[in-house]
Amino acid sequence: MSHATSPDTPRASAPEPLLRAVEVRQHFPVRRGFFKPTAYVKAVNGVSFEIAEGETFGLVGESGCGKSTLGRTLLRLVEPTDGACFYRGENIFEKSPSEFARFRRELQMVFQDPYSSLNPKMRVGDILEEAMKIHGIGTRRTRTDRVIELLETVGLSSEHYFRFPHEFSGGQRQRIGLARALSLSPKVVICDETVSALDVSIQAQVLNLMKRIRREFDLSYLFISHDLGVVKYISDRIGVMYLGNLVEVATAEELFESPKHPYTQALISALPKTNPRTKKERIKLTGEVPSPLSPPSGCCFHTRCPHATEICRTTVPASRTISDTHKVACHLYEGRA
Amino acid sequence: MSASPIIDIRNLRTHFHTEKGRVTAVDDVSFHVGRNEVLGVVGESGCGKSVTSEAIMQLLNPEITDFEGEILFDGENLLALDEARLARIRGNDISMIFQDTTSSLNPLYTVGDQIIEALQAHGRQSRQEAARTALEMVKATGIPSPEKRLSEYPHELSGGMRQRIMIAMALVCRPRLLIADEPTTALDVTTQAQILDLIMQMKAELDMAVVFITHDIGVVAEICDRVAVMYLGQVIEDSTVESLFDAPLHPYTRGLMQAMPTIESDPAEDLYTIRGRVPSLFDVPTGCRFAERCPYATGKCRAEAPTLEAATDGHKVRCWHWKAIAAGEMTESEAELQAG
Repeated sequence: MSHATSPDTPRASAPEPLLRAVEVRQHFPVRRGFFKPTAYVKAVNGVSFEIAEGETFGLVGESGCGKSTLGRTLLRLVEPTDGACFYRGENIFEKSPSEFARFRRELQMVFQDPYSSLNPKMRVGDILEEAMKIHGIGTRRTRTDRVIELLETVGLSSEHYFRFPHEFSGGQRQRIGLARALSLSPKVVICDETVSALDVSIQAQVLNLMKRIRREFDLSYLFISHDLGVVKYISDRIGVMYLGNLVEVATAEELFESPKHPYTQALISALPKTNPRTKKERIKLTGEVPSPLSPPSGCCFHTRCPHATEICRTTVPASRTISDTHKVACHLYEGRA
Repeated sequence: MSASPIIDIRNLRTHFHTEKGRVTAVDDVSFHVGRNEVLGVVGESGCGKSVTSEAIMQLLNPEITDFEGEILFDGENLLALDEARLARIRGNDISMIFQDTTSSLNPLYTVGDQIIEALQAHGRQSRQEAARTALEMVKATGIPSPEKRLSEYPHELSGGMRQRIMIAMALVCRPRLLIADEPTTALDVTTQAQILDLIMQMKAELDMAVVFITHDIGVVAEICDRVAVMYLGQVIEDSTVESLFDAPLHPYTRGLMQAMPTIESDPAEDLYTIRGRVPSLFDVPTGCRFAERCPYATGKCRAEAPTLEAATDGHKVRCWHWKAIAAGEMTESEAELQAG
């Protein structure tokens, strides 16, 4: 297994960030037959990054790049294969299930599918109360008050307390999902394609709400999405994933103003133009994303990269520092490794 | 437009009989598509854009659907044709591709067999000839190692590749009109760009017209010549792409364009929002259908329904106040600017 592939290794002098993922790996075994050795889908292959307090870190990449698996792995919804994740300096991957419960209160998740993530047989009030009950927070009375307060926070009202999920539209369900995540007063919320299934006008409402909540609750988001426009809009910093690897990390402006990694460049150039009169040169990628069962040797992108040379085929690129806030894993760039 | 349009929809209405009563999903829709033209049909879920395209293809269950109006394909009213004539037009002259490629392909047959079937259903080609044509078509879509792919099953292909197969299958009879219903919505941006390129290349080669249904106004800017914006079963704006992007006239179109975060949006500002949500088709407002969400709405808007009127050459809009709004004489009321 290759090491030091991720561009966002923290500097020793920096203060401990709120959340710090170090070389996180998630490999799923695939049995191919009785006598064949077990193969592994390397869904997340050594990803390191950090999220500061109050910061939104966007994670972009195309389907199958491992961004959702990474989010789920950080919350141990699937147990990690390797690596560490430090929350306020403590490695949550090493905690026993009972110890971890304490951290789960502070690390919450909102899912993509507003239809399957809410129990259709439960009333909205009970859905929102459930997590507080499990964690033994408050009394029945205070929990009910809190639920009503949460409903109002996300733009619903107390009259929705006794309703069932099917009575709500997609956008309202995502508001309920947000309210549920907020019920335990978390510090970090992982949003996995939270607005992707929504129509444009509803998406804008939910994005504005998420920004307001971040301010009011002093939250950090890990915002996972395939939509570059949305990620650029909501994120402070952005990481680009390809085939289980984080290939570039930069502030939102830097990433879009001067993308360094050839994959990031291709991704940005593939965005539909915003005006029919502008002429746009597109970087055309050939071929398909390789299988994570047998990722290419060397740089994971070399099979599709227009600039690939011999070294890309053989050696995994180390992370290069372009600036204090911009790192890229690509052989094209010099700079401090 | 010099030549007659390939498809000319006139005052189309579709009524569905449902358990909850009758709904009119498409209400007085008129638009036309010129030969070799790409028309974008834009709108959010439930605006009737897919129902309109299914009406063109006559894919709606006739037992629960009533139609009014005309759909003239090359001068022939599709709504008045018998099933035999329709079957010849469908797939042969008009083809369709869909968003969901998994459910559009039969999982039990190889993709090659499915393309050959499409050919044999419409032509009198022998199986060998059909196999040759299928291979040529799949080659033209740019799939690597096409011979091998033809003998594979749908589950062995990626989403982008399946959409290429769908396109090959739709175009193998060289139709004159392709209806593309959100064909790139489920795809990643880089794959989307490839598929859009492919559709445009095939359009030029086969000299066909395209109706491109999408919710993504960016895709419209990329490939369309003209756009029809739909809201709650009606066309509310119909324009050339340039004119629409230079100066959208309908408040809904303006809202839609501003609500979408792009890489040019300012992260410090809240996104523009259209308040409320699309009303139910069971409870269509009298007057302008957008009035209750519109920041410019007046009493007149709530009482009387506007018609689609010509604003400028090649730009139509369904709004009482488009002139005043365009001239900046009307401003949005404060309440509407509120977020969330």
